[in-house]
Amino acid sequence: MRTTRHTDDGGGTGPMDGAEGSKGIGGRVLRNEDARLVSGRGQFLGDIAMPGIRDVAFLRSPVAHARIAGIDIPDDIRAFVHTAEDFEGVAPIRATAGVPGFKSSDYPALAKGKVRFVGEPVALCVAPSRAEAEDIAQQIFVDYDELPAVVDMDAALERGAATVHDDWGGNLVCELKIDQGDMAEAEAAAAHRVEGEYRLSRQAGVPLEGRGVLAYRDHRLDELVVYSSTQFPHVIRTILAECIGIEERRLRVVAPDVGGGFGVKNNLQPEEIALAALAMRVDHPVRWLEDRREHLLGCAHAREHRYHLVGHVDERGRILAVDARIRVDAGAYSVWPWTAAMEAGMAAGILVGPYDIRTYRARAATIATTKTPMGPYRGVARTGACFGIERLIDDIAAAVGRDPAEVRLENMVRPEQMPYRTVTNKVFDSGDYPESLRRAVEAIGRDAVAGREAEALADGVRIGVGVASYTEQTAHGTEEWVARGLPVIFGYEPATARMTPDGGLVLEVGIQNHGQGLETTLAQVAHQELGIDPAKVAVRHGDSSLSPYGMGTFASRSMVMAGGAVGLACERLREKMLKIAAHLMQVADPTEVMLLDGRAVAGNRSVGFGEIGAAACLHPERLPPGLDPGLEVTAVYQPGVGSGAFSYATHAVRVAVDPELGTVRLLDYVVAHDCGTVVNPMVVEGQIVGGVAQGIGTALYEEIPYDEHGQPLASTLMDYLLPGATEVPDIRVIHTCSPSPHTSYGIKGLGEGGAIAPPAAIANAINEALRPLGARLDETPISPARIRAAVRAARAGKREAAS
Amino acid sequence: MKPASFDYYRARDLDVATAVLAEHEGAARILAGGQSLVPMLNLRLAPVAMLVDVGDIAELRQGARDGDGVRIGACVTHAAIEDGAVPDATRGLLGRVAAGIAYRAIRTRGTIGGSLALADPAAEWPVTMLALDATVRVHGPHGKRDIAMRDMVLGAYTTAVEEAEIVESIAVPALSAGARHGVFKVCRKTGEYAASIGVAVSDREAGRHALALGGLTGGPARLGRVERRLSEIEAWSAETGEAIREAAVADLAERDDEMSEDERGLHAATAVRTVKDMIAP
Repeated sequence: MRTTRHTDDGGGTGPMDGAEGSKGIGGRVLRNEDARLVSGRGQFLGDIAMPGIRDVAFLRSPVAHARIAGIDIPDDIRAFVHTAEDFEGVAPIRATAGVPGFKSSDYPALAKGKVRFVGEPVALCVAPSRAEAEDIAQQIFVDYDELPAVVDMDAALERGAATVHDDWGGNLVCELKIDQGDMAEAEAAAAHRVEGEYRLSRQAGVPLEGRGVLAYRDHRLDELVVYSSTQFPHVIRTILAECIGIEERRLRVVAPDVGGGFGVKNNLQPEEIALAALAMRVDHPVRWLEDRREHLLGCAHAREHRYHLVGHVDERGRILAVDARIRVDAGAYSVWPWTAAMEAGMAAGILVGPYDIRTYRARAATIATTKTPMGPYRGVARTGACFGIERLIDDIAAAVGRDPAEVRLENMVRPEQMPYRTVTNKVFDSGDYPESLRRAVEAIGRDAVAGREAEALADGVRIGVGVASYTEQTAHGTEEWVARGLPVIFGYEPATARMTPDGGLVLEVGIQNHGQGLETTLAQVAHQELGIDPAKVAVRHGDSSLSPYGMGTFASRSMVMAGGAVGLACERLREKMLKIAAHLMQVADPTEVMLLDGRAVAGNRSVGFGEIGAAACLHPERLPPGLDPGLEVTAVYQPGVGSGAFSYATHAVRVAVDPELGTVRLLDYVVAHDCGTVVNPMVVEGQIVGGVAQGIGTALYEEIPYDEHGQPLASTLMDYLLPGATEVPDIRVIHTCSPSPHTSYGIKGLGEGGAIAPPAAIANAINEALRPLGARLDETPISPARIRAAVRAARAGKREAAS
Repeated sequence: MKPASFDYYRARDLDVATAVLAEHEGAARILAGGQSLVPMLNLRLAPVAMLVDVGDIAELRQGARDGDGVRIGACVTHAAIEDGAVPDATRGLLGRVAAGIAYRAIRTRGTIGGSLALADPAAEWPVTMLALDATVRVHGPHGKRDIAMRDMVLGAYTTAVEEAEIVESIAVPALSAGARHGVFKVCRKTGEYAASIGVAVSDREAGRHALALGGLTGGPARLGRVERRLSEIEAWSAETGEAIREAAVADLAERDDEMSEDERGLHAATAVRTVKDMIAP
């Protein structure tokens, strides 16, 4: 994938300008983790071998909604099968949110009484191999007393709809209400009322490595060891201990190499509880590896949002008010810790985007259906919110007859308004949003589009350009999570920095690196503070027994949070190193000592880090009087504010649409983004390009439709399409840098941003291309069938109008 | 997604393979490249007691000239055809079609005989061989017999090959020096099965004009009205395209009167673009 950089202009790259050749912050340092990963030596869950290990297969519900009238297990396999009744005392997943009226649900590891979605685990089967475990599963007969499926979120709220949870009296999980400003006044003042319904379909996360759990009892340490392909091992230890009833000191959770998470490994999984509970009941290690079918059916789904938006605008397209009705199909249960309420809450909170909108009404409903529970997926609700507001803005532009980019500029928060508190109380910390829009539009070539009729290609192919802008709240801290009422407040991150006697550095962190490059970028932060070669820094993570308690990697937080902690720990380590070095070199004042390229230097004297490490660890007699031996510091970092560091970007895309076949080609794709101080430009570009690839999946390919019986219609990769190398064009990345005033080094997170804007930008481009035909596309994925249907509907509409 | 247990027999010659198939009376399946069968086994969709692996039978792995045309063994891979490792008498059509099948990883194992025997409605080889008037030779308990492609595919995943018969080879007639061909496929992404696929052949010297469409409900189809037009076309124009479309719509309506307007429009568009690819690539 080609990326181009534009760092040589007035925008600058901030305080780290010209750092690209360095090994510290800003440097294009090759990744420490790549040697093992690209040579196939990583250790993922399926690579772990253990004597006597047995494989687990889950028997999963084939029906959407039913009472379990009975489970018939032949006697000869009874010993190898576990159902809910064998797991007495094991607590279900029960997530609660602070939203008023929120209804919580018990999500058991193995279904109890009822099943509520196709793919819900009902029984667990143990055998020497997975194939044999599946043989056992096939011999179990479950008597399902079927109930009506609840499939469509809007229909689920209608009177007489079947209820997913018997004691709820309906399917509304909760409704969030926002009322800001005077809607009636805005309506009266508006020149246009622009209305649209915009929808994202349900999809899966599909990391390269599926989920997986391996559990066994370590009798020597008297602990249960659970390996899980998770993004947050420490937090999983806490909740898992609670669910299976074990003290935390006797539980160790390890995330080995994790082949992508994207949020779907950021929930407590029923399979984690089941395997941990099983390991407590058997005398051998047990393992479960999720296959693709299980992933598409049983792993948390994402994205199914509906937005009914009304914009009240003046004749220039200036938005006077937005009135939003948001619905989220959260599936059957709340995932822990996020709950079913998170998506709708975030969507309502961020819907106004990077725009200066002061009158805003939102009704955001979270609705239960008999489908797989919804959980976080890269971008979380922001991909939906961006789709809603950015499609609305293009519709506003069409209504007032202006260029969509100009209408965006008309409404965007301006740099001189920073810091800017939005109508929903988000605090944008820094940045120049209009500049990102201008750069993206300039790069994609708006002028060429003005002449797009001349570009009309063979076979009726039409060209369109679309843009979408967004802000990305990252590394939000205590204040934000408290406001959301979550059971765990993800407000900090720790790091231990330890110098070894030979002068190397070990960093132990509570995050989990699964593709973010953190084994390198955290080492670059250490280099920034200590002048140590990142190649000589070992970054250890992903193990609850290894580092101080940490929250894990999600919500675009690790670089800011763990980076801040590493910086702080190394800063304190440096103070001690300087004292030791000064003493070793017989320099009276430690402030005259500098750390440079692995040595402590004062004038023409120097000592290597090895000598400092040896003095601290092996030779207390060489230390200054009164200084404790050892070279180890643990620091905990919290950003200056809890409201987050806001990255932002504009995506611009040029598409070719074939109205007859319904096919779409992406001709060019530009991302003009700003994530504050860039720690490693290559890692940042990788994150952006990967995110855009997933966003292209949401926009054009990925979908799990359900039939009226609640049966998912995409349960293998034959039916579930993912973008591949040939579907992702070269992504051109333009960096600008507005450092966060609230974080160490001015870093902002950027892990999710790439996946936020593509559905909106691509949909806007397709709609521009098809506007002359009168066709509209407002639902993802924008498949050939949907495009052909829209074109057909437009033709039929025109015929009707003519007759 | 692991298969239930099954027996496995690696056959060295066709007679023994046929005998094993006959012995299992429908509970045995033939394994060639395995690119469709193995995923189906993993999903446990149908019980299979015995797999008869024909991949080791040397005569199935060869392609050779056969008169003017070529005869391609059933176990020749898509990749071998793509790479020109077997002779070609179609002026590059076979190589071009092969290169468009799924992904290279699949092409290195998937076989032409397996594709024809499976008869997936969206697959490349059934529609291509139908356009080329190829002949499939099968080997069974009572010896060999030839099946013309027009008689080969009876419906989706259903062929004229009988239970204990094995596809042995495909005879592809030669195209003349001046013959042209066109291929057009509608699919959502590289490697995906086609929603619609067309293969056109125009061989004036031999007086043969063919247009076959795949991705239809059931098996691939020849479009007679379009084919009659092909003999008249000199150069491409918008009018030519409209004439082809009209003919294709009529052919499709005749074949399947329950076809939706969307499908008919899509397949007619494929017909037009296939012919255009042939006339004005």
